[in-house]
Amino acid sequence: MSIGMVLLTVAAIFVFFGVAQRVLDRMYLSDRAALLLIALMFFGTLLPNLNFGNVQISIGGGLIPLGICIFLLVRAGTNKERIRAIFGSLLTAGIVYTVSTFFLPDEPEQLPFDPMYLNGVIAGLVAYAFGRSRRGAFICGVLGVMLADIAVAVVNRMNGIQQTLVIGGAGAFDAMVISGLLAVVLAELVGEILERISRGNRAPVHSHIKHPLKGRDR
Amino acid sequence: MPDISWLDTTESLPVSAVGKRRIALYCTHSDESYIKGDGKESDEERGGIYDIAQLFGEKLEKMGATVELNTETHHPHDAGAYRRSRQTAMALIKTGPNAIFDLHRDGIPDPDEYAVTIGDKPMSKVRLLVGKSNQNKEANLAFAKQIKAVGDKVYPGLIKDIYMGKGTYNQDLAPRSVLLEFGTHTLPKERVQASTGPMAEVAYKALFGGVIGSAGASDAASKKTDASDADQPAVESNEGSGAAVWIILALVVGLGLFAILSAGKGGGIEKWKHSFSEMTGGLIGKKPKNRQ
Repeated sequence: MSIGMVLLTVAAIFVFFGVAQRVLDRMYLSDRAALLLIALMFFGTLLPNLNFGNVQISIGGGLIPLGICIFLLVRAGTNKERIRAIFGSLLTAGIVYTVSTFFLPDEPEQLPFDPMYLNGVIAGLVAYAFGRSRRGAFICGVLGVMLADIAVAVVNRMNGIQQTLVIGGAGAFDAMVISGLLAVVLAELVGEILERISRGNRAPVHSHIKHPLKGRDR
Repeated sequence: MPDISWLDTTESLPVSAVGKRRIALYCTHSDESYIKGDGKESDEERGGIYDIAQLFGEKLEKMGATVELNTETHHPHDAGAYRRSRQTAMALIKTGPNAIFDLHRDGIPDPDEYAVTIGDKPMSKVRLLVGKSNQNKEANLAFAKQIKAVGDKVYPGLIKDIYMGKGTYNQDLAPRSVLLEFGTHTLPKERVQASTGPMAEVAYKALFGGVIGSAGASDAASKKTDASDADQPAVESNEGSGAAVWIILALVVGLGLFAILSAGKGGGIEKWKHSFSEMTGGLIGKKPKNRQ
């Protein structure tokens, strides 16, 4: 079982037990919607990629996570949040591309961890630094990796290398999905830890932001 | 070491439709080449490693396997190459191969590390690489050990060793996924090419036992003495998935306990009931009116 499938299964279990409730609420997703999307990512992986010449898009690993990102951007409360998410994605892409190309060694055995997980960690940290946003973390994780792959494709084309660009080609097991999920988990973890440190033993203060789906104050 | 006594068959058996014998091949580091043979150690367009992959595939097909060779490139040769080749590996796995190999060549400067003579023929050793950072590690390692055991018996000296790499190498995608290092960049390419035939035989026998012939041929009268030994599949274990199942089971139990501990026995059970009810749309349990 791949790490991506394990992560998605764990995410589904979290959703089932309500552990991811706050994360889902902030991503404007109900439990059912989240589980449906996870299922779509699994089954979308089995479908053939959409082909546009030298560019292919996987339904499970590319189209659905992209769709979620667009949904989150559209539903974002303010333009400021949208700009932060987009800028965060560009920054994540830049860091991922730069680190992969110029700083990390080529062979995984020279690293203490697999480079695939690094993308999600970068995305989570960037998103958290930009606004402590779980939504932003998911967007940065998914779009960041996608934009980094597009950057590589552009550089290859400039160097005369004819190579197919596949977006999310490994489906539910792709680095895009793994990065998005890891980024959200990291943002949640870092957020909770820092919040707890600052709050101490005091009870948490409920947010007064109006919930866009339920139409009432939370 | 794995038991390979099934290799000691004295007859070659006609192959009936015993099922698909598919092997998938791809090359993550698309630039890898051989200085003596390709003229350079790295080719930014398409490395000499693809010639080795092509030849290896042809040898496997002669043995009776159906080979799916993906010649897609994954430039550049950097830390993101395995992320790009993951997509290729996934596309190959969708075809349902019995095993998938990622072909590379090593970067060790000393050619003697890989040079070997087998039956008076100068050849190259082949290193097997298994990634430690994935759930299928045990299954992939068992498969690699099977290959080495067969190689040590049929062509002693061909298999250099089994190297445990730190990364994933996309081996989490399949339980019989191994990275093959065919020689090094300073070894003459002819030696590497000469090793593809023996390596194909070793890989085929490790996967499909001692039976050779055309896959998919119609049934013929068999003279087999002990069909069960000869047709024994090489690798049966699938321990990678077992570990993941245990992780998920532990997670479910842990979360359940967490629900009870955090909300009290009554509250925890209510949480479970609420979750089941939500999941089944009210079919199991009573759906609460207001969600908290």
